[in-house]
Amino acid sequence: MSILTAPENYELINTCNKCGFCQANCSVYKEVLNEAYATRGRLRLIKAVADGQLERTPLYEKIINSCLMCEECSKNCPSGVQGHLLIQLARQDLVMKKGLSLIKKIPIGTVLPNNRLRKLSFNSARLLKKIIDPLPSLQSYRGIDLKSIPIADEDFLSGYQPEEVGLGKKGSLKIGFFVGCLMNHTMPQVAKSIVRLLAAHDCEVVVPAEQRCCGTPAYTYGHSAISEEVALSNINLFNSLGVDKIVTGCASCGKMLKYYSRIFEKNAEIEEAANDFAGRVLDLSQLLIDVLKIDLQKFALPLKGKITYHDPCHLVRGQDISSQPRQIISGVFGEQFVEMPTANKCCGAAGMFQGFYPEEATAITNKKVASIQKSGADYVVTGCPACLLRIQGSLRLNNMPQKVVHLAQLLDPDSAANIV
Amino acid sequence: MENYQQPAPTDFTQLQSLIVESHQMGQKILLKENLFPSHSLPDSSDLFLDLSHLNHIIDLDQENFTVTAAGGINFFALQNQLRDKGFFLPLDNYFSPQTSLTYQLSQALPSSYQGKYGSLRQYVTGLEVILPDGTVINLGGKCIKNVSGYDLMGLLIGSKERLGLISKATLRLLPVPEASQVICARFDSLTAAVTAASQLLLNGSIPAKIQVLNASLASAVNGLVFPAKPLLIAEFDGFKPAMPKEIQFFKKIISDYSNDITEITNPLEIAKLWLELGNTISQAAAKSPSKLLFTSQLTDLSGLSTELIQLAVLEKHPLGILIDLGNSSGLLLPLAEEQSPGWDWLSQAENVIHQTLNCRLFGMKTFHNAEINHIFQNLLVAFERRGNIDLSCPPAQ
Amino acid sequence: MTLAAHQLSKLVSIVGAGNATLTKEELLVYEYDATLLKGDPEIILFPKTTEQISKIMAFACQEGIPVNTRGAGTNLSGGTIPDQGGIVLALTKMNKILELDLANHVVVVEPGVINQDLQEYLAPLGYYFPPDPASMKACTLGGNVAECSGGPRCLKYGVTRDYVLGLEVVLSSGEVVILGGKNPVNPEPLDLVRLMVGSEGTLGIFTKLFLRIKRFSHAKETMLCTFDSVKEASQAVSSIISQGIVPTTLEMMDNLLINCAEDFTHIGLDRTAGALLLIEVDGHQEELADQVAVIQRVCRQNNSREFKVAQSTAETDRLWVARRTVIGAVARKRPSYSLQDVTVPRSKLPEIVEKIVNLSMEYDLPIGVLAHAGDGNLHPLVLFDERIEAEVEKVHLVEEKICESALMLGGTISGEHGIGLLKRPFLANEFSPEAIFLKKQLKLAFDPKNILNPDKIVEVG
Repeated sequence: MSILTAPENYELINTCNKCGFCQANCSVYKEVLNEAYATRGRLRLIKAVADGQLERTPLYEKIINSCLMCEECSKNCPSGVQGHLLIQLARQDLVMKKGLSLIKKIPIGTVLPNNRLRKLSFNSARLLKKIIDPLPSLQSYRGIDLKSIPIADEDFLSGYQPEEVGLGKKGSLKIGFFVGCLMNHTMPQVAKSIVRLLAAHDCEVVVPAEQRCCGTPAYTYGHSAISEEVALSNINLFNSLGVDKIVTGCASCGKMLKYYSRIFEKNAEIEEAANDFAGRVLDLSQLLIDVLKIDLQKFALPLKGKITYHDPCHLVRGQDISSQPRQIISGVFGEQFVEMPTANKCCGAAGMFQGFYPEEATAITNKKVASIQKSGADYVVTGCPACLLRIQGSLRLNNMPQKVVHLAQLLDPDSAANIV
Repeated sequence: MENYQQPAPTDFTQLQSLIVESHQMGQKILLKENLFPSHSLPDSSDLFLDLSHLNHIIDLDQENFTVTAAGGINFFALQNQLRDKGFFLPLDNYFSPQTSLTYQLSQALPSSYQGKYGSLRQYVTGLEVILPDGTVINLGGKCIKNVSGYDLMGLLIGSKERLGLISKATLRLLPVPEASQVICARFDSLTAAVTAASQLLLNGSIPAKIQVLNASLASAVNGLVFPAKPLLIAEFDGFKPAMPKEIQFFKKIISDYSNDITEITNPLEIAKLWLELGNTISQAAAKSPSKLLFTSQLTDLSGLSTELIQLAVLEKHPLGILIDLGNSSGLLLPLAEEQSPGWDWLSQAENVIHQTLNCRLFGMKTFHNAEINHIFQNLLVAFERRGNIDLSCPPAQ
Repeated sequence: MTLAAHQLSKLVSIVGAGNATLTKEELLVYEYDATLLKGDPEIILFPKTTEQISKIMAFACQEGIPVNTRGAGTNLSGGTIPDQGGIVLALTKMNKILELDLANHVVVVEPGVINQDLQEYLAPLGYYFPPDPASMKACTLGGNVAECSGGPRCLKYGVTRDYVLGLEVVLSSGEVVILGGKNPVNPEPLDLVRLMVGSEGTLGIFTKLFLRIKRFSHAKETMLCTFDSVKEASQAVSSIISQGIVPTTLEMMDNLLINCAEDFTHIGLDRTAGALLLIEVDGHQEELADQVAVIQRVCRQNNSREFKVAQSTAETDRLWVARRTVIGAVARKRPSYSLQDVTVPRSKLPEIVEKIVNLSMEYDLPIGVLAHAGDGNLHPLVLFDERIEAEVEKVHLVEEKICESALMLGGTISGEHGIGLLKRPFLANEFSPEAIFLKKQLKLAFDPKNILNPDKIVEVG
């Protein structure tokens, strides 16, 4: 018995008709060309485990863990099978039956959920970088460009001074800002741009320092205990602030926060609070276009050259958001905006995937890099810090000059200095 | 010709009996049309069937656009009968007027309509075949799409009479085009003509037919007065509104190579033109044992024409060259009964053709590869049902 | 069949350990294809070169090991099921486009190239490869050639067989041969190329495909038309062709499918309509207006209800949405679906649809009909629940009955999906014993040891 055999879950596992169309969109399958790494294959194995036909072997784990969770298969399945959700279920099952490996357990289970430990880890990493950055052989690791990952001396939440960034404390809309771990530690200046932008548009911005990790890593790898714990914590925190909307500039955080309502679907006590919370979550681009309806001409970073946009998986498929960011870019920059081929395909980062499956991740990211080159763009805009770092790093590893920018920076003329 | 046995069965039962008898006597069955002179004379002990009595249309299905006909029907006559009823069978080659449907199917010569309408095999939806031992097999029917097992029909078409004799065939038809028109141009050299025609096709024009004749052949066409210059003939068909555009495009491209362009719009004149051309070629072919049918790629045709013209110059008697750009094939045949003594133009021509990349000759009796030939032999045995096929698995090289 | 250790290691050594697998996990995922059938593969090999395949076949021939070739495994007749054990030869890693000769309309590709990838490669150049089955974004060209895949354009432009100029084939002995070539005409003594197309992996393994491509037409028009009944829609189809128009596409959907599609897409389809026709014509822009007018007139004469002509590319896409999403829409109604495939002469379409409606009531299974109306090829969509064994049984019975009906109406048991394993029992209904004997001899001539996808299409073992 396992969660895989619970009737509602087992039923879902059995909805696959084996048409095989998921092979068309799966980025990992395209690199490996082995059925086991296509959604159809993975579902077959999950079913085999559920039926007791297969043990939870290391190879099974590898197959289950090597999914990008990019949701391409789910969006394109003729039968509506949500492959990524079933794989997440299989990961939950693995955690329950075998626990997480140490190398995942420490960051996911111990460090990220704990604000102090997280800050400590990032600071340690920053210090370590001071040593390894100048050493050419240690600048990249498994296809990840360590050198180009900036870790700020002071993370955004620790150093946040409302007076510094706010242009007026009171506003007609009260917005709770969810920063997200990566933006907090590696690009606090983007977080500042966001707050400045919102404050300039008649928003009262509230930034609770006790906010915790959104829970994406824990959820993605099936550690439901942790993801539920941090979710509850964030729900209670933000609900107590009485904000009209909760905004984030990170696609993954945004998707996770909206997903809180699904996590507590069956929990009568928390369900209402979760729905209340999730209902108020917006991605920055949604807030700017759909709610604030900002005048795009008013504030703009003076960029010259062609600009293209990369859709983070968690935005385009995770939240069905693809037109708002484009409206912003073409609204501000007009003809400078060019679409790149396969803009909405995964960048290959996928959280820890890039570290555990460097060959496939590098191949996938290189395809993104090739698309950028083909588009003729000088700048790549995106709405996810993880995508941003991944793409920027790979551009640098490929000796390409293009710069990657967060959407928020486009609307902040002061962020010019931050585009390296 | 008189030495050969040419029975002419009057019905299918008779046909079947003939086939059974000859099989028992170890005689090979061929169609009478094979008695056209060729450089390898057939064995006089073989039987040459004359199917001309089995020449009726069995079923014309107007709703499904199919026709089932007995194999002995004259191919040209079939097309005319269909046309009278508003149906178009877009298949044609130099030997149509003198050959039966069965012969056409067993030879599978390239069709001059191929560029626009596709090849013979695309139009056959059903066959009735009599195997060498007399067994009758029915394949297909009226369905355009069919993937039920192996494509036996495809195998039989073009198999000459070696696998069996096609006694009936069901063909699919198209509606007669609303309009058709011919346009000709004359050139100073064959190469210029072929180059011009190639350019037309490379620029996206899709004529129903497009052929180039060298000067000797052009002037040999009876009944029409063509000057002794290389000639390009193109036929366009389709809907009326599109025709002016096609013609205009033709003129635009071709005028870079020729300033002598004529349009023929009268349907009777068009029919006459093709008929006379067909007759000239098939009569010349019937008289001469040496002719070459070759196939190539569109982009190689210009270069090939230059080489062939040089050859034609060396041959003292007129040599006809026809290049069909619709199917990238061509025909080389002497127009007089004698050839220059001491000069073997045929093998010279074969050399030229073999040297040209992607150019191949028709009339291959065997495959190049030994193992495929082994399989070929096995297939012949299978169809003849003479005995067990050789199941030995040849050792890998 | 159980392979011995020394045999397995020999096979692994031919392709290298990185291109072979024996793990239980991976064997499990190579048991199936898009049907409900299951096989027992013993080793999966991912060759990258013709030479490797030649060595594999030479060894397999010597040892009598079955070899089941596979592309994306999306076929619908069980052709890729390794039901006799042995090797699964997955050609997905042979996925390069090797040569392009636009002037001569030829492209040379490896068998693992995805159909859609070829289309995307050719499209910017103004060309395409006409056979475009619904699975084109996932299926491989090698699979398309092996199954002689169809697609909606067949009426005007033909099937895969008409677009294969030549093949590099590895025979059962391991010998590598080239059949045909790049010429538009094949002068070989027998047309073995055509025979290979649709041979479903039983006569040889294709390692290079020489394919004919076409230039895009100058222009096209797309129309959507609804009718009171399938009969009237079919009549309209025949009349359109009698008027001298050969449309490129004539897709028909019955009432059940119209409702499923509308449930899913909400594009305003008439839920009470008996049938829907999606029609496309192509050619020079000048001639299309007249053709559309004729088609509209013909449809009206056959009691059409609504007639819409797409005014823009976006609208064309919208009109196609109903057709493209119908399988997805239907799949959400019941847990499982079976997509079937038979062909009848065009004039018999109303009759077979009526028979199918009766079968649906008799067996109490919803069945929708999707048809390539122009060529009489239909795809009944049978909805069921695969966990209920009784329903699975019924699906097989219905399939048999549909094949029977098709044959009685002068049709064939497979228009596009092939015979494989699923339709093998019905072959004897369509062909005489002598014809079947010939097919078996043909198979043995190419594969005396019956190791190439053994006993698919016909049973010789």
